[in-house]
Amino acid sequence: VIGPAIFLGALAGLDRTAFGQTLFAHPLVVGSAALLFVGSSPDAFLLLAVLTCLDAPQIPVGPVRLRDWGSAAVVGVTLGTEASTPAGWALALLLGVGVAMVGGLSIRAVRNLALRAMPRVDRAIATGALAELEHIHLVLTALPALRGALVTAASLLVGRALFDRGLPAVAGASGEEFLSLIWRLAPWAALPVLCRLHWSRRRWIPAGLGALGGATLLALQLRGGWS
Amino acid sequence: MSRHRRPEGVNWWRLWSLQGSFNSQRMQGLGWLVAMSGVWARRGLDAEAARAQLLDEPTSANTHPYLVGLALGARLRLEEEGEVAQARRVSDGLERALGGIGDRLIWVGVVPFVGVLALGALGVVGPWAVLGIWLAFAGAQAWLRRRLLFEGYRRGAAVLTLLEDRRTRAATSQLGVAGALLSGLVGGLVLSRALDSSAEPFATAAAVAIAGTWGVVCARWRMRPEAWALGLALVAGVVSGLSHVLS
Repeated sequence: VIGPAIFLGALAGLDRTAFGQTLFAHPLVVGSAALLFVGSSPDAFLLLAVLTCLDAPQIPVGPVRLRDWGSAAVVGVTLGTEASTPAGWALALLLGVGVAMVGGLSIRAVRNLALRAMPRVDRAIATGALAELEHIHLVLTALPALRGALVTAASLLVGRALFDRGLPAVAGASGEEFLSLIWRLAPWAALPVLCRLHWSRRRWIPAGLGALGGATLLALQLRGGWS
Repeated sequence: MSRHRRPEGVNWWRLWSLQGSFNSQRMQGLGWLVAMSGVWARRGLDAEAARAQLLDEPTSANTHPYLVGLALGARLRLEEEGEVAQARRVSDGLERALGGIGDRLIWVGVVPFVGVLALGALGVVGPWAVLGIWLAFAGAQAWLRRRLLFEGYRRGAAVLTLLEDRRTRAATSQLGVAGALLSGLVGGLVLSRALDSSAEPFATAAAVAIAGTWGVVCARWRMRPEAWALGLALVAGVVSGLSHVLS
């Protein structure tokens, strides 16, 4: 699954801001595409839900500092599914947050590279070289795909080493219990971030109805009527 | 100059890659030049004429990538009608206006709603449903880009009457209402999947109350995701320690 994961990382890197912006880089979309290769599970759904909550407040307007939740979703889903334990999913979540941060730094690096290409653009403008302008633009457009692939590949490499050594080391110890607790609590801590985004601006009635519906689902689960 | 039914020289890849060379100083400036350069090449400009056109264009541009076709289409129509100075003023003004409208309608209205809809679809149906929603969204925005380019080209300067801000505000508000309702339902769905019904009820309730409080604190003060993760680890450590002490 490494090859498809890197391919998805490249596509998401391209789609995020450079070409299309069709929402393929959304953690839910690219994460769902990764699930087609590794297999879907309730835990994978929870991981993508938590990453979506953390991604939701990010609005790609102007030179805002972006985080790479698309690569985070691909890496998290791939490694979490391989481990398939609560501790493994917790590690996938923490790794995903780290990947999003590092990916965000790499997005800034690519934009800085684009900035450094501007003197070449000025020279092309001064000579009226339209083909040269297109060439520079296409190279800069392709860079985010390379960035996405590299971030995903490096994260899978580092993440796999972490999983191979870290999970056996904590197995049966308090470390495993600690990680499992992180996994159990993560959705409860993440959902307020998503809800605040949608429930602001005095939408009391729909927010209240939504909360009532959500509470009903929870109550059904507690009574064993929802599976 | 003859009037065409559709703008000539505007390739889809030029519009779709508007942000390809985005940077903090010129933003979509090069993307805009590349979108225009297809038209200039089609018109058969030599290097000197192209140089004059390029030097006349603003070095930076910032608009919404989905809506840029409207500005480009109107600009090309006005240029073909010989209104070169007006064409530039209209496209500059449209770029800024469309940036504001697009940010509010697409990034604040449509995208959060589609995100929460896709989350519900993943929980209830599965990954194929999410990919179906993505395909529908991608198809709709592709149609919108093409439609706006043609509409801008058809209307020329009259395109300014399309920027009726009230309608986009109403659409954003309606999407917000739907998102508020849907996010509550999806929240319940997510938490019902996260609930460990085999665990001791009182300890579970206490733990989720602490974690939920941490989430509210993060949401209220817009904390960074890394701070959220560190805080969550701290909460898990405290809950784990307390459960050991109490047992």
